[in-house]
Amino acid sequence: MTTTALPGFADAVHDAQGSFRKLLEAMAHPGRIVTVPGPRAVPQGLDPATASLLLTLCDGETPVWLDAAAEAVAGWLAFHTGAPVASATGVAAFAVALAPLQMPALDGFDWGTDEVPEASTTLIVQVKALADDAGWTLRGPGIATQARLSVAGLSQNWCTDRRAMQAAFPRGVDVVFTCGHRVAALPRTTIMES
Amino acid sequence: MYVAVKGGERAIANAHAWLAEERRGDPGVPELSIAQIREQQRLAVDRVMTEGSLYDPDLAALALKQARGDQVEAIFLLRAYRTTLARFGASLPLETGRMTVRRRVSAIFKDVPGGQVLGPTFDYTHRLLDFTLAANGEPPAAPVAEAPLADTLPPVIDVLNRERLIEAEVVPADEAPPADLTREPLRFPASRAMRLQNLARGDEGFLLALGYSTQRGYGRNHPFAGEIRFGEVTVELEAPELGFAVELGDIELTECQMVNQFAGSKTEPPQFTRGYGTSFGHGERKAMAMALVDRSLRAAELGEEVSSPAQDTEFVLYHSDNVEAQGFVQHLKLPHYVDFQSELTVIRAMRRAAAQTAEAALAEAAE
Amino acid sequence: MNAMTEPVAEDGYNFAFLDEQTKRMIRRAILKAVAIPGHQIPFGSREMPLSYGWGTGGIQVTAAVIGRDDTLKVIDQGADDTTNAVSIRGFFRRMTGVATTERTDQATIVQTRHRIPETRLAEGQVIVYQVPIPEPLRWLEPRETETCKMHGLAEYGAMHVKLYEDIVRYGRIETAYDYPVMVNGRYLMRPSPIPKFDNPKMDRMPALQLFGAGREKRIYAVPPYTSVKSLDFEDHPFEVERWEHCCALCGSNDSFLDEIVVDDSGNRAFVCSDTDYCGERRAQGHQGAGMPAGYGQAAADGAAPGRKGD
Ligand SMILES: [Zn+2]
Repeated sequence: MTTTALPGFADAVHDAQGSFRKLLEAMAHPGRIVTVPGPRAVPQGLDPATASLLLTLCDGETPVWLDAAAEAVAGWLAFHTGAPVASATGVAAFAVALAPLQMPALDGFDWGTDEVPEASTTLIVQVKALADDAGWTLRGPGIATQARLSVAGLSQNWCTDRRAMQAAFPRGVDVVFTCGHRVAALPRTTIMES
Repeated sequence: MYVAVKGGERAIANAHAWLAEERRGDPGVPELSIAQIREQQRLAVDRVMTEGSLYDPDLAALALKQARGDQVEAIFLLRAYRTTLARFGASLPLETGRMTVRRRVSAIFKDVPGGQVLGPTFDYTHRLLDFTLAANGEPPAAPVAEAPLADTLPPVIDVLNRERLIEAEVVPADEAPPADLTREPLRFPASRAMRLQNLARGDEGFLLALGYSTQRGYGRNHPFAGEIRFGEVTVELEAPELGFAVELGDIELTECQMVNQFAGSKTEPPQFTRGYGTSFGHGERKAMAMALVDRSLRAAELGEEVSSPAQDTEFVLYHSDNVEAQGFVQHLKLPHYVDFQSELTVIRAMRRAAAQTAEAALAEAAE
Repeated sequence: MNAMTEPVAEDGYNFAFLDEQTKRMIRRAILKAVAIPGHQIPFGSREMPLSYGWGTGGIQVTAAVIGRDDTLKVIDQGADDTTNAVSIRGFFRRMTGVATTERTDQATIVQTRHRIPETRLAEGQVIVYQVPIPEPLRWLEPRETETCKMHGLAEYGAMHVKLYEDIVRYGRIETAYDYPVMVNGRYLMRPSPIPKFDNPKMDRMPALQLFGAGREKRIYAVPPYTSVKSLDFEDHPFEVERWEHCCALCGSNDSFLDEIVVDDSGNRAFVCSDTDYCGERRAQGHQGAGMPAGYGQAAADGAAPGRKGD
């Protein structure tokens, strides 16, 4: 079976709704780990959560940037969503990184402008492990007091860059981590303490 | 019981049933068919299609029937239906120069290549009620010209174009296709393509008044009716899998090219400029008003002073849509008693405070 | 699967009316709105089968969010039985088949116009506000291009000046509803025309707050536990409306009261605007002084009075 012929959601309407609602929960509660429904099959290299979010969010209006490890899924993405591949990080609505250690610096993506901060890239970063009982201490909108999030396989630079980005608010990028069927979000408002 | 002041599901259902009866009117009078509306109330159908942004005479006629002849309500119905339609692709730009013309007039030359074609127009009719229509509306056959019109008539504006007396209208090769205003929100600065989309869907009455205001000096732009044409044009779709364009069919269209004086600027020599208007079907008043407003909205780009409502892009584009406008004006019918209660509380408190201040002043004066 | 309990949407329409592409566009806007609390996101608002100004923004947001497992509550002026609330609830029942409720604590999604329920909303709930004019600076500056810049620079001095002028002129801030708030210390936001009585409920609310303006084509949001402060001054702190009365039906002295004219001589009665809250209190045995005798005999069922058979 070719990659493009892999089936998408079992129920295109309700699985997309379910996946979106879980992502909305994750985005509204930064650091919280949620579980999303996966498609019936996923192309090699994509975790079910990564595939699920792409099916839920992307279409012909959203250029998607793929890192070198994700390039192989371009056909699958085009077949199921019609999303064009973004030629550069700076023009992508979504960016998919399957190899987070090698991903470009955060400021290489679109942060939007002070007047149009929503014109920014949303990063979907697939990682080896996610845990909410260790790692960073998170504060900010969506968090009652504080939350924890530990993400395996990010470079130290990434964390430094992410902290530096906080000063640019409302400009910035929102990050969604995926792992297996699980998802956690780090919107630009979230303050990362060490 | 307290709920008596509120509306209920039953109230809504009953109101709808009553509305349906009113729509039908006296059952002793034969019911209108969709075909009758489409054929005999054609200009109403055309307006509903234009401002409804959907070319479908039967659906527009149905909307008019359902809306009891209320045009804005019919436009609303057609647009709400349009929302649910899937998009298969975007047609190629219409070649109005290849229009099969039924009417074409120009006010800027006595005669033009292909001739002036008066066609079916209210112009020069004496607006006298025709009582014979009350009894019998069958007209005598209209005379037929001895020689048929040319298949296509060249646009009058080309004459000025050849002499470079009018601004060139060239689409840059790298220009992105215009966005779809029904899929994306209006953003500013709005491109001319976006403005024209907005005006084409805009309320005829609103554009008519704005266009008129420019003629009376609120942003005057010295217009001449370069050409008005009405007829059939072919809609074509490029099918990527075929590699060539296929004809989808013909639609009726009105187009107005307004020619406006322009004194020139630092970068441009004195020349004529353009205002453009169009409508589905036969809608000259709309197309002409639209062309006047299109030109007045170009004031800033042409370095003219922007001082009048018709030149104010945000003002015009945000208030042109009658479906938006009717909704917001009429939403005042919805209950607002919570907000009103808040206002009451504030007003009463302010009156109390004012009364106390006055009393204190009186007491002080008495001492 | 039990077909009897599965919500069924009306034939010929997609679940929740909107096509999937439109839902994706709205969902992307909602996610951005949550990530930038209080900032208005332009979106490709669709022409709905209900009128602009009658809740099309809230309806589109709800339609993009709602799923088969949701329980929907719709209120207008705090009441479940006002005509437009009934109409919108009926629309979603037809287009999604989901369960509806009048109970605030049983709803997963509450769509509202002009009120926040008295019952505290909980984490996991979503409240969707219908918004007529999303721009808080609009009465000060009619131009979108200008207000956009003011938000970009967080230049909100004009609003403070306006409120302070009120104090100088009237001795108090005269804005009674749609009272401006600062979200997360960054964005000035219109809370929609809720009475300022409801403003404090927005601050650090555990539920997710989503705002939809259909005609103006904007979506914005306040995530849970986010600071929402009503603008005020040190010497004129923000305060809410108070009543000298209690609810005539349930006796509540801390809910927002509607004033009802009960007879031709202008006598008034005061009752809770939140019909669910009032009903729940009465079910628990709370009682007010009661409505005046003979009040409320007139029918209002929309039928043609005296028309049939006359
Ligand atoms: Zn009560």
